Amino acid sequence: MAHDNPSPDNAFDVVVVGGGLAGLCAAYRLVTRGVKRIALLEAEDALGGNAQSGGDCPRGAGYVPVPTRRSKLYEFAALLRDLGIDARHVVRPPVERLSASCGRDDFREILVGNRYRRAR
Amino acid sequence: MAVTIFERFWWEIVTVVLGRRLYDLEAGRWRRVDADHGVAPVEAMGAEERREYDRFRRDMARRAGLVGRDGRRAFALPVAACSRDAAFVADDALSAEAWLDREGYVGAKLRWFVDYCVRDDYGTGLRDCSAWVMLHYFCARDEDELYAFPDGLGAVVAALEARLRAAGCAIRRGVRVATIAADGDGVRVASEAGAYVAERVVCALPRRVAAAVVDGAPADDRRYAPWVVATVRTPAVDDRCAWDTVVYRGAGASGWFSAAALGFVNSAHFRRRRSCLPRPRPAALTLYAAFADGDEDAARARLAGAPRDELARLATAEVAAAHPKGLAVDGVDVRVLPYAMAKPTPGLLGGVFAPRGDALGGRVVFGHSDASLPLFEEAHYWGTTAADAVCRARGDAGAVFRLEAPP
Repeated sequence: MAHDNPSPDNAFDVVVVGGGLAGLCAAYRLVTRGVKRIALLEAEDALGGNAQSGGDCPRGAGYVPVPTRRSKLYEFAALLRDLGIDARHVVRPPVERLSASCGRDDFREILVGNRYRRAR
Repeated sequence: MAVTIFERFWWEIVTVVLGRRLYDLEAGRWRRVDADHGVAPVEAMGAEERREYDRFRRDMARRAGLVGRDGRRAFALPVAACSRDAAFVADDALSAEAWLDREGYVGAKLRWFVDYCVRDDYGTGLRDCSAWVMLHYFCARDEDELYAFPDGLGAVVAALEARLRAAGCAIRRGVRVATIAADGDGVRVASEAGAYVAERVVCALPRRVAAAVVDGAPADDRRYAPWVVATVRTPAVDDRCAWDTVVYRGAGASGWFSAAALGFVNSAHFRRRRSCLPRPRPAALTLYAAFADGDEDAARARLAGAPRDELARLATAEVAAAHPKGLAVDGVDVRVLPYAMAKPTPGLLGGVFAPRGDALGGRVVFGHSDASLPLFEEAHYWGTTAADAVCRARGDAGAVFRLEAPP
């Protein structure tokens, strides 16, 4: 924790100001391009800005659509892969349709993933 | 800590398909949500409304394939990759509401759906949202597959943090930067907690903060939507509660908080079930509310003046209204974000295609999603391209953002 207490006049090659997703992605790019002395400064006690974690729940943005070929997200898709999020976790819809009858006590819900499938 | 929480729970990353439900408060019943229609209340539509809705969908499908005279797709992500063709950009001069009027889309349920979509992603209703941005929402990607995480994109934040720490990046929290100014050949970043000097700075602050902090930063010309993110903890969530629950209120009157609410997500969906029998489980139900309409300053003042327990009560009522059974509550955590999102109002594209660039002779480069849209993809684009500009200035000519795979 010692290095979380800033001391005066720290010298770096590059300082990234702002620890939301833009600042984190900027710092990650600097790291992957081989910049050595980098600091990331965040005003709040938690990183993430609008994407902060709430521990077991979100405190901000909740999800991101899977990048598709329709868009120009080659680098974004590569970042998600680097972070361990990739096509192994994708299931193609529709796996199952919701019940046509959607009375309050008569519906099915489906959550689909590698290990999750539920329909009652 | 180096091996992140994220990596330990990688298996919890799931693709959520159809795990979203719509409660039609007007009709008092649940509505089907599927990959084709999202939360559009298609079952509740009459024949004429449905024909109009289908026309809208066909129109969007057609526009999704458009390519401009510059060879670029009309609608793509990141926004900076979109066509500059005036035929498409012209719609950025209109509001989404004016565009729907012009195209003859009058159905209340269709309009509710379109309004919901741009509120949910951009904190901006039809009246304020750029028509081009609304079209981009429907035409830039297929929406039926999502990566979702128990703690939202916080999981991605943790993964990025772990990689930065492993690479030796100094991460300092609680540092509220007061000024960023020239310091000899470098840059001085001053805060109450101390000063930093650097050869170069990436300024990934929201532009309203950057305008106040960076010497020579462009003036802030954006409007900001306030948001509330409130988590209601229950010891026993109804077993039938979906991953994401959205309420369609119809034409009925609703209060200021209800009018802003966008629905809630259910954390219990990310836990492994020990039994196939339904039984009550504890859950965190996280409600989102975007104060997208009218005067943003008035909305901020109202939120600032509302006691936290009043906001907690309003959030709980909102969740309870669409919870299948009675809702027991352990506690409520309320997060108010007064300037959560820069609203993509008409005229957005000028700033995207001619970005504000840098300050202090190129030693400070700006990179934040509010250069375009409040999306992770856009934060990644602007943050990464800002870092690339810094790397190139340091002699790394290979630091170039690729929109597509290398040939």
